[in-house]
Amino acid sequence: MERLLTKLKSIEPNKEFKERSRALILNSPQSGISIGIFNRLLNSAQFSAAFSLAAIFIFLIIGGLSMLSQRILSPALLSSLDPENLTEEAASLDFQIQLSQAEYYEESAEKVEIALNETSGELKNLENREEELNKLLNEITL
Amino acid sequence: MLEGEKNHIKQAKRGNKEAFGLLYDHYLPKIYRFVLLKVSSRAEAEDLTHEVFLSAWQNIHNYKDRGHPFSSWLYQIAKNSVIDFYRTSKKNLQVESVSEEFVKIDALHPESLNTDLEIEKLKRLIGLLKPDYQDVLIMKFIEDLSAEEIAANLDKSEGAVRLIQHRALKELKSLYYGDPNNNGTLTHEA
Amino acid sequence: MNHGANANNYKMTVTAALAGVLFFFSGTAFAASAEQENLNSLLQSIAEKVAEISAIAENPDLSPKEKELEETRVRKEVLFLAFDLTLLEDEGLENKLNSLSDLNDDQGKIRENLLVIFTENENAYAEMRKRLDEAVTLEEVKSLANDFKVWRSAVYNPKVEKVVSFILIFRQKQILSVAWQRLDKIKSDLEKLKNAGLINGEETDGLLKGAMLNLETAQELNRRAEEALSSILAEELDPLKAPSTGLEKEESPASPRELVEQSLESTRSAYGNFIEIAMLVKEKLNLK
Repeated sequence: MERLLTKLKSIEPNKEFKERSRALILNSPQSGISIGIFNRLLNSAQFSAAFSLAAIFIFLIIGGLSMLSQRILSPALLSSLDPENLTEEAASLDFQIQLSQAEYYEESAEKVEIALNETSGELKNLENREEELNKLLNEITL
Repeated sequence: MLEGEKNHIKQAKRGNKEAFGLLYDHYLPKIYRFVLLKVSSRAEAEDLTHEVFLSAWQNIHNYKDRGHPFSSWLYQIAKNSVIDFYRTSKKNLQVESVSEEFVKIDALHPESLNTDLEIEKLKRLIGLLKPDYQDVLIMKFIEDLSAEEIAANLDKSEGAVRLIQHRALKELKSLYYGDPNNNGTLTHEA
Repeated sequence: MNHGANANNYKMTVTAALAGVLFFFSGTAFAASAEQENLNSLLQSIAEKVAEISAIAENPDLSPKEKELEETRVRKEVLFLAFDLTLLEDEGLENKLNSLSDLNDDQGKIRENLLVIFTENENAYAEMRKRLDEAVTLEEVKSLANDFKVWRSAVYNPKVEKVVSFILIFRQKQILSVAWQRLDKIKSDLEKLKNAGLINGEETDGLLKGAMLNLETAQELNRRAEEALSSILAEELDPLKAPSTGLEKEESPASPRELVEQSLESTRSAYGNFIEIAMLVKEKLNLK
């Protein structure tokens, strides 16, 4: 069992997920900065309570929005808007395979008919008949 | 532990992205594995793992080195995320419902087929264990941590860790090799 | 910001993405299936055998008697190959029909009716095969080739057309279901991004509307294809009930297959819109 468990070491996160997640996280602000300012504002409350409260309110909103945007920008959400995922999905719906298979039967019908025409001598007969018709037409018009 | 980790943490606390990036690169696979084996779905594991590191980045100024490794702080965030996840989604974990999307069975190499099936089965079964059992098994056998490190990560004594390890292996073996009373359905206890 | 250049970039990249899908599948559609490879190989063999007939006729080293014997042999071989091909096509279509799942009652009934075709074909093959085995003279072989050609043209090909159309229509329903779900998901995600003030929707709204129109068109075309096929099948079962034709119609209506092919193309265009939206969002959010 221990040996089996160690096989799970091979589990690795998807490379694209890693790149996206890393980029999103490192491009987001550290809320520590806004919290530091929040603390300073609290300390300055004695000088202007109204201003501090408004500022705190604004920072809470910004901080909240920042958290919200990070949640919204989580890789799982964005996978639905990932061009590569969508291309893969389109490929998996195999539009072209459906169309190609339909075209095959049309092509087969045509090619087999030509082959059977040749095999039955019909092609030769048709050519001969056309030749005869041309001769007759020529005689009439001359 | 990552080389120069203490310095990276110090820099990251000051807002240095590159420093945090190094920590991210080093710990991502571990946290991802840890979370995946608990939630069994790649999409959910990715989402939760992302939240763990986002939370770490935004709260690293609060991190203090109290003699516990940095990884234990990350594991704690991960555990809490998983608990929240189950609390909000109230999942009944069933063997049949686990997604197989991340297991690519190589049809050209039959010898790998057995390994992939084994891994898939194990993943599902680990997801059925109690959280403590999962934690110890993952940290011990997959992340190769010592009992001392595991104890630090989980805030338990080494003795407790060894006992949990013994019980966890026993239960996992019984699930894996077939317990007639186990129908593969378990309500996950968050 | 150069919107014109960016818009062109998007279009080029989207076209490239879809072309990549198209190229991949057009190159591999036949190779991807062993059955398709066999069919193509047989078609090729038939063409090669037919070329031999002309070669024999033009061969100055053969006497008239030898030519006749050789031609008889080669023409018989063409017929054997043509039979094999027809049987293989039949088998493939029968398997494809049987593999369709989650059919509703009406669809199930149509499938049952279509499966009867293969039983009818088996009887025709048995008879023609017997004649081919017994054919000795050149005239007998030519006559059988003509009969087989007429049978394929008047009976077999129209049946194949129906089966292929049914499979396409059914498969397109499944594809449309996925595409609609994808549209709903993208719509919902775009709303979230707009509400968070991360995008303003100016460019994405138009594309989303385009995608919706494409899917609606696709849906309508597939519905008409299904209707047309049902009508054709109903006519076969009870010709007296068939609507009067010819005088009222000025042009022949599109066949079920043509309609479903157009439906597939519309769906593919919708995916082009989805990919464009995704690329726009990616750029707006500065994601790599």
